[in-house]
Amino acid sequence: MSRPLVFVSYRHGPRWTKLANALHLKLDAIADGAGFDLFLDSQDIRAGANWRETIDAALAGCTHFVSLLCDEYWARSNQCLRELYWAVNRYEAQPAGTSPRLPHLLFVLAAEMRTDLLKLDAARQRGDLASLDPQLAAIGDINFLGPFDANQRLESLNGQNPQRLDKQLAQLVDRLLATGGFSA
Amino acid sequence: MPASVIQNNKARDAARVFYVSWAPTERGADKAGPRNCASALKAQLEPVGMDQEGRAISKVIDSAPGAQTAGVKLGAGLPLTTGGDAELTDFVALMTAEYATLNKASPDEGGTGELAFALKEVLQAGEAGGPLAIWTAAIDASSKGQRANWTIAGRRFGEIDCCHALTTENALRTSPAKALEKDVSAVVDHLLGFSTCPLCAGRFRSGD
Repeated sequence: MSRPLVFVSYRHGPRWTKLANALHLKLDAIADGAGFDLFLDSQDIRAGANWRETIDAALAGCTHFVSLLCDEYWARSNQCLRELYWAVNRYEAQPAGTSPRLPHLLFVLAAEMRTDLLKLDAARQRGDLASLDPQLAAIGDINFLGPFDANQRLESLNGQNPQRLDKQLAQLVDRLLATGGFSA
Repeated sequence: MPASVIQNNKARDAARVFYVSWAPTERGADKAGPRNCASALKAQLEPVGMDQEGRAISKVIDSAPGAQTAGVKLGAGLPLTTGGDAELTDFVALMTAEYATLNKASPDEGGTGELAFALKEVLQAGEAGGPLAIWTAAIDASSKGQRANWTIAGRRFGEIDCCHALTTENALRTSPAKALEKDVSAVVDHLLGFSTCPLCAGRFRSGD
């Protein structure tokens, strides 16, 4: 049986790439011990490989889809949305009663956003999301991976404060492990 | 014959030589991170003179390039080679996710991490290996569960009994400065309280 695969989806750009790499590092340190594989495009696509095919294979096989949400991810990147829609399509394609639905959709607030306004209606109208049994109206319908503050309120990743960010990333990793499907 | 991290004829009452091993972080937190932590540990440990069993503290070596003490050298490809009058007795690893990642692979599989190397030496030496102690202190925000899942030299860190945790539930704080001093002070007390490591199978582990 293959190991769980954690796919990290993020917007390329100095700020977001740095956050994605920092999360990847935390996950990479425990991946073997906890028994999962990890996919981050900048780390896991070898020179000469077909970029799109490699990403699509990872999207098709991932058990955990971690999305670092920011405005640029949502509004400016067709590739990010393609990855997101692929994951949502897989999630919604499973028969009613399937538990858990895979991949786990795990959203991370990389920047301040109104998650309840991140609606999927337009994508359904365009045909990017094709489920006959839609489960999600908006991204905010899904429980976020985090990060959460001391009062359990969703907050955004704090890229300006390395120690705060470190704690937030550690929390994300703990919450990811708690979603289940891992060996430890 | 290359010198080894462990000198098997090392006497229990030999002076203690500490090696503080760390890696830079990628999060731009070095000022409050491993480098400062290693400096604080060295600064507090060095003047002590002797531990609670009366063993002298001979040297404290910071793994930072250029920070080694005269008489102890780091050989090319052998991160912990000792020389001259120094015999390493205590390996202190300041653990972060970066550090763990650097120590994932066993030296037998090409790994060059210092902790992986020290661990290999200790495990190879076995019961008769002499009193090299490996001490670990997590200094990033990783949880206990995450630390247990770190892979060191191809093994789950949580299953390596001869690495003695210097901190329990919480990671050693690296900022603000007062917290760092206080936590390092507790670590030094712990280091001075136990001076030998006869592959103690967890005997000295402090609850981790």
